[in-house]
Amino acid sequence: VAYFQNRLKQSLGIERIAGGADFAVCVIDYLMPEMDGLELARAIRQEKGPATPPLILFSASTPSGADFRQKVAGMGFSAILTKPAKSRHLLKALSDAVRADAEGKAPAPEAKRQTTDAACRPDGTPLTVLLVDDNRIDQKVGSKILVSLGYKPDVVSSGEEAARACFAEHYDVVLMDIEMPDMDGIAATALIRQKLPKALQPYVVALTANAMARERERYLRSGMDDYLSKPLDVAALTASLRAATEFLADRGSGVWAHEMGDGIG
Amino acid sequence: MALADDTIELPALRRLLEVIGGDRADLVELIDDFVGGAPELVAQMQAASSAGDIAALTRAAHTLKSNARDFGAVRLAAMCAELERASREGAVFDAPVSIAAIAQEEEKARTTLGALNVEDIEA
Repeated sequence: VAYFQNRLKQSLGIERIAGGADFAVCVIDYLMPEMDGLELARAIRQEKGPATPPLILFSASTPSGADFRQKVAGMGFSAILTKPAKSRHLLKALSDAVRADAEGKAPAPEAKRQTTDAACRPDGTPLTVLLVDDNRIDQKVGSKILVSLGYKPDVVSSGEEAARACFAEHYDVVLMDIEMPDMDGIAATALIRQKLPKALQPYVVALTANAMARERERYLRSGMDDYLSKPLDVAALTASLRAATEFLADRGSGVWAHEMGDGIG
Repeated sequence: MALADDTIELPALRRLLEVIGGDRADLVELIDDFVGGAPELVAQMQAASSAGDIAALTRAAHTLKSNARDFGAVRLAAMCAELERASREGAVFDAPVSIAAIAQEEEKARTTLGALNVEDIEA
């Protein structure tokens, strides 16, 4: 293992690599002063050509833009690791990269899997989403939109089912229809807010076909985090899910904190 | 393509096709759901109206409004929205008349959608 911390040392690193020092794998930080991880990767690739070792990008921010991930995959990174990285994730990325290299192919499994528009958790997987709507067609439309964005939504049809689902399993985001018979979206959200510990609370987005400004205030006051009108607008939904990611990261979502607990970054 | 009348607004269907990811088979499936389910919602309105069940009337009108909007049935959506609003405010005086008009418009929307060739909708 060799560490190179800044541009001068990176240059030395490139020279060492170019000069024949063979590393089995290079783990490269993304955000570094002067020369970032992508530039460094390009420089290494220029020097080593086909003999370039597997590269793993190490990044403090979850890369979110699809073009960023495509760029990273296009540069031949075997994996993207988000800081702080769990030791087993790093180990897996390292062993996958070395194995792929030994087998003579240059796949980018992690980077490729992430070429979606989905907002991601710190471990790089899409946010977990529960869609709640009693209207079958809206369920289908909403779930097709979410799937096309890269999420794997669970779908339920009532406020009671929504609350039960949230108690049984952790969801990062709940897309909650307001107008439902029996227990409506506001009552279901109140129940979830009341029963779940703060650190495990989902980000709740109200969905409604009755779009009125004064209603919006009421939803936010009753414990919902955001509001979207139906028919759903993909750009607005995407923005809301990004906001959810930031909100959960800032709060230190209990589930995320647990996942990051054995981090090494 | 042009539709015979303005019962269905194509831009809404184009938009729907786009938001669900552009797969026409998915759009056909959704249209089938609407065509299959809309008469039931009208029947629910009629039953709720006869039974004087305002909550059920509001709900059925709300659901059909929402679905009609998705598929570009703008007049049907507006009629349902009006019935929903009146019903929510407890101000429905001529429910059977409104529902009869909605039933007629729903049938037109269903027929138009059923005859639509989704291949003609530009992505």
